[in-house]
Order: sequence, then C-alpha cells, then structure tokens
Amino acid sequence: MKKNLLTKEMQIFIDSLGDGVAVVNKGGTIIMSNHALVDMLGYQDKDSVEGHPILKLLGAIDERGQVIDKKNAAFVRTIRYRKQISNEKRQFIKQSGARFWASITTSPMIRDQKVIAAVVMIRDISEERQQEAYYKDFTHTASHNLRSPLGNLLWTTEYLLTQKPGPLNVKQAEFISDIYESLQAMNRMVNNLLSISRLENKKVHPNLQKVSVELTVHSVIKDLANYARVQQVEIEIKNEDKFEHLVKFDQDHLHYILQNILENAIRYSSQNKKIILEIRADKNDTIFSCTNEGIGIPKDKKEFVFAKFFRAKNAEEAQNEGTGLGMYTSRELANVNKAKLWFDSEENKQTTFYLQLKSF
Amino acid sequence: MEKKKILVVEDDKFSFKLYTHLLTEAGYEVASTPRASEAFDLAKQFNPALVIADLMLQDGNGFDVIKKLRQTEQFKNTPIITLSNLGQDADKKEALKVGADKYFVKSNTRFQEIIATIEEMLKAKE
Repeated sequence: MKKNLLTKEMQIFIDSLGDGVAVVNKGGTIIMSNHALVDMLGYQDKDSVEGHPILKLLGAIDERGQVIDKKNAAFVRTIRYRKQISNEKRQFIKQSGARFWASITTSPMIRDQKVIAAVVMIRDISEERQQEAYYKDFTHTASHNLRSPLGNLLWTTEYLLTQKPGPLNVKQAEFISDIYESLQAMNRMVNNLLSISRLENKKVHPNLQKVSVELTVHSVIKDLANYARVQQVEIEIKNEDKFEHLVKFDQDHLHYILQNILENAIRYSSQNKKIILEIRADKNDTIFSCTNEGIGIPKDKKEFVFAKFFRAKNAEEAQNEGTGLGMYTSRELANVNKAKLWFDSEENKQTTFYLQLKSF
Repeated sequence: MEKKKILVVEDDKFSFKLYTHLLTEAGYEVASTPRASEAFDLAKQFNPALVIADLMLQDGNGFDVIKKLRQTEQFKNTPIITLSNLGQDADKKEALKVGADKYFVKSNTRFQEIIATIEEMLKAKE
C-alpha cells in the first residue's frame, strides 16, 4: 500500500517539510512518515516509526490530561467523518520518555471517493507554550509587584501636594503635580495589564446583573468632567429618554468600557467640539454610541485599533498619555459579557464607537 | 482628649513609615508591626480602636491575622481595614469573609479617602 500511496516526488516533498507528517491507515498504523517526525520523536530512522500503531507510539494526552484512545483520536474522526480536524493540542511522548506539546491537524486521504488513510501533521509548540506561560506569569507578577511602590509614591505625592509637610512654591507644586499625573497614568497601565493577564488566563467571570446604562454613563461623565474641561470639550447626551435602558452586564466592566470610550473621545477630540452620546433600544439590544470630532483613525490603522499596545501615529502625536491597552481590554471585556464593540471613523473628521448590549 | 489608637500590620518599610506618619498627623496614636506573628499579641496589649492590615506579610498572611482577631472577644467589633496590592475579587471576598470590614487596593485609593473612611468607621462605632 505504501508504494502506491505516494510518488517519489511526493515523498521528497513531505520530507522537506519542517512539521512532522504521518500517514495513518484505517487500522491506526503509521504507513508513511517524514524526517521531521522521526527527529521530533527522537528516533534514528523511519523504520522505528513506520509500521507502528500511532496511538501507542505517540502516547497522546489532550489538554485536560485525558489519554487519547481510538474513540477520540483525531485521525479516527477524520477517517470516519471525512473531514479535516485542525489545531488540536496534544502532549506526545518522545523515545526518551520526555513529553512535549504539539498541535495536530488531520486530513482525510481520499481515493475513488473512499477514505483510504489520514494525514497527520504535527507541529512542536513546546517553545510557544513555554513563552506563553512565561509571559502570562510575568505580566501578573510584575504588575502586582509594581503596585506596592506605585501606591507608596502616589500617597507620598498626594501628601506633599496637601502642603501639610510645608508650603511648596509654584514651580515645586507644578512639578509634583506632574509627577502625580504620571504616576496615575502608570497605575492605569498596571491595572490594565492585570486585567489583561486575568482575561487571557480566563479568570474573568462577569457578574451579570441588571445595570442601567444611563446611570453608568452619568457616573462616567462625572468622573471625566474635569478632564473634559481641561481639554475644552463638551459632552452631550442626545435625545435622552425618560426611561432607563437596562442591560445584562457586569457593572464594573460596563463602567470600564464606557470610561475608556469616553476618555479616548475626549483625548482625541478637537477643542471646542461636542462629544455626542446616544443610548437607544434596538430590538432585544441596547446600543450605546459615542461620537467625537477630531483626529479620527487613519484608514490603514483601523484593523489594529483593538490590538494590544496599539497606538496610531496620529494619536501619539496628538496625546502622549494613552497606554494602548484600553481598547484591547474593552473589547475583551465586551466579549466576556457577550456584547459587541466596534467603530466607524474618518480621519480628521469624526469617530463613533458603538457598544451593543443585551437588554435586560 | 485621648487619642484613638490604630494598629498597622504592614511589612513594606516605605508603607510602614508612610502609614505611621499620615495617621499620626491625622491625630491617631499608632502602633505597628511588620510581622504577622507579632500582630495578635501587640493588638491585645495595645487595644486598638481600629486595625489596618496588609494581606501579604513576610512571615505569614493577613487573612490569618484578621481571622484570629475576629475570633477573639476583645476584637469582635473592632473595625478592620485591609490595604493590599491584591486586586482580585477572590482576595477581596476572602478578606471580607474572614472578618475585614473594608477592602482597598492601595494604588487605586487616595490616602485622604482612607483617612475619611477611618473617621467614619470610628464614628459609627461610637
């Protein structure tokens, strides 16, 4: 069967691939392999791999630590349902007994409309996994450890600004205020990083409850009133209904998202312009929108707005205090609350952010 | 008038110094310890009107300190404030469960807010 299965050119082709490849017959025996697979598993030659049952050879365990048997093996499902199965994560065993993380994709091999075998592609993802774990842990630990000195600096600066320890001259007061603002920005960044680390570790469980969009919007406006005054922009709620729009959402998450949208709207608005907010019902949903007139989002940067650490060049030039994390976090929080967040924007004209929420 | 007493359990040197200074200036008599193991004995001796505790201490954790205080008749109704760097819901829930009355993440709270909270809590206790 092996001879008929692949031409010499095809064998050369699969041997040139960097990922491991195994062709498995219906009985689960490896009938063909490539050099990458042999190397990955730590064997000397293909004879140690071919002719052996794949399940026994790889000793597969899935992400939950369950041993993969014939019933749930990807190649069996591929042969049975004639479909490709992509990127399932497994832990396989090497000849040495060491385990490694891999991503597998299986595809049916069809001849004369019959499935004759399955092609199993195996990619070693140990390094990616390690990096991912390291990154997640690093973000979490670093952010926590930053909080302690940050808290002390914020309090000390706040205390100096009360002038209780002694009067400050104008310059001193100005510089200490600048320090205080920078520390607050740093604290926002740390809080964002912590939220992200928790979101990415799937540790965020929204506390879904009945929340009034109007009340939250007013509370956010109150928090940002000073900032709006400094930036010389006005905030207006258009056609405010007499009744409240109630939605099913986590109160803190909604506050975070709306605050982030509005803060950005103020930050990137032109002076002496109005920011228009609107809350309206749309069938079973409630849509909140926030429109500002200002620098807008360049066309070629739109796809990156919700990316982590992204800040468009025009945004950086206009204001240097964004963290590049707010929109990413907002989108993630919207997702865990089953809401949608998107925007329309025209550069140097206006931008509208929309948040579509499930009505209560 | 006799000054009201506050016990601070905090092992970070800077925070330790800062709390002591700010609270003394606000008119309180302050006793402090960086050690979880000393907190209970000091509390018994000092008899504070209010306790401020950090959660992560070098020789133990603040949860245990709060728990032990709450299980003692002398401190059954003593207001306890947790000032921590841990901001997760689980930590907050745990602290409130073992007996803390308020939970603050320090970097997200202004110290004047803490002073106001302390005043309020002590007033309510009277």
